[in-house]
Amino acid sequence: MDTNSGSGRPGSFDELIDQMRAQLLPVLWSKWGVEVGGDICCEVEEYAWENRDRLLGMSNVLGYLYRVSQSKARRYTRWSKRTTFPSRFPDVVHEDPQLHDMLQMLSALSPDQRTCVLLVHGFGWTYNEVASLLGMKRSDVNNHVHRGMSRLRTDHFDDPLLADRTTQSQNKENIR
Amino acid sequence: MNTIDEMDMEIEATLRRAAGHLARRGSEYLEHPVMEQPVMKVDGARGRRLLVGTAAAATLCATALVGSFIGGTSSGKVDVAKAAWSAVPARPTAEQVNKVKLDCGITAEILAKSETAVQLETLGRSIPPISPNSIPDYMLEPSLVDVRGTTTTAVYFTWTTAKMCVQFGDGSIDAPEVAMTRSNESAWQEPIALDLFSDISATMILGFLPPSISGSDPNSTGESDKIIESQWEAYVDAPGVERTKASVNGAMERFVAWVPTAGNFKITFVNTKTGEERVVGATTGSLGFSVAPNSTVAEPPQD
Repeated sequence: MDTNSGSGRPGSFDELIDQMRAQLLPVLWSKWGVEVGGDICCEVEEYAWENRDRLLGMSNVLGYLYRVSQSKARRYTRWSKRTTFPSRFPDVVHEDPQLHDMLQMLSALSPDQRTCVLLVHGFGWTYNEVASLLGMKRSDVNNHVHRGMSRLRTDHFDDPLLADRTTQSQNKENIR
Repeated sequence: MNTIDEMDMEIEATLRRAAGHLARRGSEYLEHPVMEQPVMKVDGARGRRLLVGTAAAATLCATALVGSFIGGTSSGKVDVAKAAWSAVPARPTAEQVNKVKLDCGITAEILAKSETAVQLETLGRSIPPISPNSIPDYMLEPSLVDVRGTTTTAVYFTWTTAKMCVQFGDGSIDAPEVAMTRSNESAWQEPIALDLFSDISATMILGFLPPSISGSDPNSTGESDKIIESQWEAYVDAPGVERTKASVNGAMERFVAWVPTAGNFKITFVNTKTGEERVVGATTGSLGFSVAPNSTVAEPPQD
C-alpha cells in the first residue's frame, strides 16, 4: 500500500480519483461504514473536482482530503440523525457468522480504533501509512491498534448481541 | 484456542475478511468496479502459518457459501488460500522436484540418523547407530512429491521411517518425520494424521494404500513376473473442507496429502479398475508421532 506521501503524488485529476478510491475510501468505510463512508467519498470527490488545481500541488493530498472528509461527515452525525458504522449486518449473519460477529465487535470500537485496526490488520497498511493519511503520530496509531486489538481479544468469545457495551458504546462513540 | 497468538491469528484472519467484505459492499454501494484486496506480504514462520490459517478459514467460508447458496460473492481470501493449498495436487514438474530436493538437502546421514531415532523409539532400547553407507540410493529420492498451491511436500521412506520435507511458498521448510512400517496387509487401515504445526489447524495425512490386486502373466510362473499396477486413489474428507485428493505412489502403495484443518477425517480409497471403495478414519494426532524437525523424540499421543 503506497499512500500518497511523496512519490505517490497524483499527476492528474483522474489519478487523484483513483488514489482516493484505493486509499481514502477504505479509511472512510472503516470509520463511517459502507453507506456513510461511500456518501462522504462522493462529496469529497466533488470537492476535489472543484479544487483540483490547488489539490494537485499538495504533497499529502489524501491526508488533506481526509480532513475534508471529517468535515463532511459532521452532518451525518449531527442530531443523531443517522448511525454510521452499523451494528447489524443481516447480509452476512447466515452466510458467515464469524464475519458477522467480527463486524459487530468492530462496531463497538471507537471510530479511530476501528479505523486503525482495520487498516493495519484488515487492509494490510503499515503504521506509517496509516499515520500519514490520518494525520496522526505513529505512536497514536500504535495505541489505537493496541487498544482495539485488546478489546477484540476480550470480546472474542462473547456474543456481541448479548453484550450491552456493544450497542451502548457504539451509540456513544459513533455520534461524536 | 490455546494461546494469544492463535487468537490473534484468528482475529487477524477475520479482520481481513471484514476488510474484504467492506470493500466489496462499498464498491457495490457506489457501483464502482470491485477492487481486489491488496495481498498482504507474508513471510517467515508466522507468515507461513498465516497462509495455512487463511487457507482453512477461506475453505470454510467457501464451503459455507456453496452449501447455503447465499450470497455467492467470492472473497479475496480464497485467492490467498489458493496460493497455499489446493484440494487437488498439481503434477510436480522436474524443476519443482529438483528444487525441493536441493532445498531440503536430505542426505544419507540425515536418513540414517532419523532411522536410528525412530528405531530407538520403537524398540525402546539402545541400538547401534545406523551407518549412512547402509542407506541405498533409491531412498535418497523422494517417493512422493505432493504439490498444492505453493506448498510442496516431498516424502522419503526408509525401512521404518517416513521423512517429510514441506516447503512453503516463502521458501521455508518444515521436516517432520514419523515411524511408518507396513506391519501387515491391513496397514492401509491405519493412516497417520500428523499435526502439521503445533499452533495452527493443519494436518498431514500419510499412509499405505490397500494392496493392489495383482495379476500374473499367463506365460510366466515366477513371482517376479507379477503385474503390479497403480490401482488406488485416495481422497480425504474433512468437515468444512472440500474433498482432497491425495498424491499416491502406486509402486510403493503409499499416499500423502495435507489439509488446512484438524479433527476427524474420512479417507476413501477408490480402486480405479473395479470401482471398489474402502473407507477408513483418522484423527489428527493419531497413529503417528513427530520426531522432527529437531530430531528430538516426542511421545506418541495418548489414545
